[in-house]
Amino acid sequence: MILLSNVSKVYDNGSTALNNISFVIERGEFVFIVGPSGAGKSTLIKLLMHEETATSGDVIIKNVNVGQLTQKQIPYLRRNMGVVFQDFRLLPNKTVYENVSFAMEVVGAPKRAIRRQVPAVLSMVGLAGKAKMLPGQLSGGEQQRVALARALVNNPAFLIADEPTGNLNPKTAMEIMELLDEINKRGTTIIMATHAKEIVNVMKKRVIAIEDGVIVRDEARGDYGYEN
Amino acid sequence: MKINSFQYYLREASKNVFSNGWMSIASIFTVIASLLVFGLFLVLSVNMNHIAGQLEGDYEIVVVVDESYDVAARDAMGETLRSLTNVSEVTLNQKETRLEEWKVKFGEDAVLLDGYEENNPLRDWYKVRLLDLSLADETAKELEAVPGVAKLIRNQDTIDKLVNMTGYLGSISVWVMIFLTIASVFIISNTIKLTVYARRKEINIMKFVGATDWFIRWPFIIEGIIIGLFGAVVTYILVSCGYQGILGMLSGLNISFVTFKPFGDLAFSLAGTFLLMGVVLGGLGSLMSVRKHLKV
Repeated sequence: MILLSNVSKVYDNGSTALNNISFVIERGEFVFIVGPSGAGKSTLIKLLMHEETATSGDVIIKNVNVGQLTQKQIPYLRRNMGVVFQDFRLLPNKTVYENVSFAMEVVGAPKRAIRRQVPAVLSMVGLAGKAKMLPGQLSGGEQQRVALARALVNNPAFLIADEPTGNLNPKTAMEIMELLDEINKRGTTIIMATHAKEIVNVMKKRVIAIEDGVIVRDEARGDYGYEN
Repeated sequence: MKINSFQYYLREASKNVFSNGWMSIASIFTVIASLLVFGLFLVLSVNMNHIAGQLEGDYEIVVVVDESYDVAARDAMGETLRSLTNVSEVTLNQKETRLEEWKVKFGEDAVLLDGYEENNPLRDWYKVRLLDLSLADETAKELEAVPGVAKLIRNQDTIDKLVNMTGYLGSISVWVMIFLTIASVFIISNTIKLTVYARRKEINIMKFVGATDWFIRWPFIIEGIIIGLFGAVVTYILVSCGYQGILGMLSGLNISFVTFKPFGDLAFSLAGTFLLMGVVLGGLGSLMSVRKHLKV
């Protein structure tokens, strides 16, 4: 599903963020990307989202070489993936329902599909009763659930989560992780960059560790492996 | 463009217009200003052409017949004049008739003209009307070349002045228009820039859920077009009231030699031009802004 082959990323200022990285992520996997700050996790996430392009090497997503996409094709690549961030990135003046339906509207989904799909995904993340509330009226965990609902509403093949529990207390974070595990069991591939040692250790999923732009460890059912 | 999406664009665009409040109003005012100048020029030039047309309709060249010509020669000459290509109508104005007309004009003093019947100092005229007035100079030369033509009397001045004035007016208006167009486009693009800035979070989210570039751009372009259309409608109302008001005042002055275009004749083309210009100004302004400030 996702294949990186000898990927390097050198920024314009000359700093090398990723240095000759290769890995394969299969459909249905749950992968943690770990490593110290500045190791290259964010760059890796940005490459997958096509916010940045690789300086050399190939990024292949669903059999498409992302580096060869034209500007016009990029949005269609992004429809394959859902994204959640540490800071949720919800629209504060739209209700929970609107925040989620918005993601369907912008890809031109028919109204009937929106009316069917949005309540379904909201109840999946446990927010069926809060559709009419504004993000500001929700707790952090609930806001991240809205973001998850938004990421999933278009049925993406995989979900990219960039420090999704970074702003949450440990209990709420674990609840979000249970939800992600649930989503993963339903077939969505999940790639999650994180600093949360306890979470990684508890989940026993594949761990890819990056340091100084190089993969230092890639193991199934791995540990976080750092002392924070 | 999908119907669903179009509704979305329209909804977002009108929301933006209202949430930008004062900036939208400022933009609408600049559109009005530039359309007003444009409308003023349009109305004036249409009317000047209209008046020039009326004067041209009356336009004729008077051909004075050489006094040595007798009746037969004069009539033969009339046939020659008729045979010229650009001549539509030739009417003879006999010196006897004109003497009678003079007497009528002189009224009580007509006695002064007594005795001239025998030795009429006036000359026979042909009044020549032309098919194509723009060829008047060429035709005048041909007329002069006809044997027996003593001289021509032309009344070209008034028309020339009108045509010149329309020209000057045109070039002044073009410059003012260019200036105001640039100003409107600039101010509209600034307004749109504010919207883009206010919505940058939303734009970012749209991007990562896979909205196409044009899907993101359209609401902003439509916002500009809405501003342009508002301006167009207000300008149309202003011009329509103003024009009819001025016509009303002029009709009170009782100027009989020229008439102005009734507003009904102008309404359709004015409305069309304003709407088109409004859309172009608004669309162009937001397109500029979107290109510059919306990195998608």
